[in-house]
Amino acid sequence: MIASEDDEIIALFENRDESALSEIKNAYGSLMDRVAKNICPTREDAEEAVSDALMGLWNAIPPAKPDNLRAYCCKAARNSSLKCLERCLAKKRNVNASVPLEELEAVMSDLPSAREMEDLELRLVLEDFLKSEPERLRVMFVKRYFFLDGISEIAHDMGMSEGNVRTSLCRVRKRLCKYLERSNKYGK
Amino acid sequence: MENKEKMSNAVGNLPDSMISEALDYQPKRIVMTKRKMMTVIAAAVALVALVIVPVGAKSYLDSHRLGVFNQQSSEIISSEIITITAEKAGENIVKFTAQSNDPEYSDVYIYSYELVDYYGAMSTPYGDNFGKLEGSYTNDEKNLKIRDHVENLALYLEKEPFGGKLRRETDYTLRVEGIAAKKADGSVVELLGEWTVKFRL
Repeated sequence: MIASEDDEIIALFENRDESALSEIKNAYGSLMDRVAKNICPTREDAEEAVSDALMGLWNAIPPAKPDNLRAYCCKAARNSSLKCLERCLAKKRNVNASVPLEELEAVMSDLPSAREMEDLELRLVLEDFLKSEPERLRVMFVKRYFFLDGISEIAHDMGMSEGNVRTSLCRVRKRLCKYLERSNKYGK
Repeated sequence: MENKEKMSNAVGNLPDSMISEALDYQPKRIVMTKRKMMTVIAAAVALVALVIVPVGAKSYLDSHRLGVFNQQSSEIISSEIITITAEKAGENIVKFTAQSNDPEYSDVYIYSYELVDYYGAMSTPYGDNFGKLEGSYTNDEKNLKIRDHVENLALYLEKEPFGGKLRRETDYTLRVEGIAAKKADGSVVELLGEWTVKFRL
């Protein structure tokens, strides 16, 4: 999708034209489905999460005017899917998608001082850390922890073995842990 | 749960550019040149003909991964470029040697490995900054303790004496994922791939 087409879709949203929803579904529906299916336990949950995300976009634009509509859609789908996941976990349904989140949680568990970080501070430190990583590892991190892709899927996409992906992610998490510790210590 | 949410939110708010980068990422591959391929094949044939490998090494990299891509200080390589052999180096000690079949890489040694027994993976140690790999890995459940160290570019695994549950003749597999190497231009790189070597301690 090129930027001018994104602008046209955003213009439809701004004019409160309901065809904006079908247009955005045509453009980024499959991507949003993919994000939701990675996170939600069932197909029905994923469909519901995507519908919620579309509703969220309808309510948010305007006033929001995203520069990158594709990434914005991914974030909307991720947020609504995580809410769905939360509901499933509350009902004690068996959910595999929370595994990457538990890996992330372990980074914090190893580092009590990072727990005191403000949300915004943590976000900025994480962003800085990822900028300092090589592109390949940064992409791997985003695939695993933003899109919650499975190890085998990442390995396939990146032309690596599953073992390599697991080891690389393990190293990135360890470096992130050290980086968080350092950042917190020096009040970055 | 609070920590999980905190980290998840931080990741969920990463810049759009990083999300796009992940969506658009294409691994860079450099297909092996015919000459390079011939060199590798010739070296492999020579090795099979001349060297008696004490323990069989089997690589299982998919054919589609036959190629290399350069990225920072890591390179994914075809497993044929490195040959790993194991030999007894004493009571309860096994020596693993990595050998490069490509003149581009020299001074190779095992840098990251996983030890697998009948029950599955036991440990995943790896070195730091291509430094010396040295450690001690314990599996209390199986009453087993193994030390490792690198000496003259060879990896040594030594089983500590124990009155354990496992029989001495148990088969193990060394699954190597990372090799440190010096390139022809003098730079040090990590070569990523998969090699497996069966051995007994």
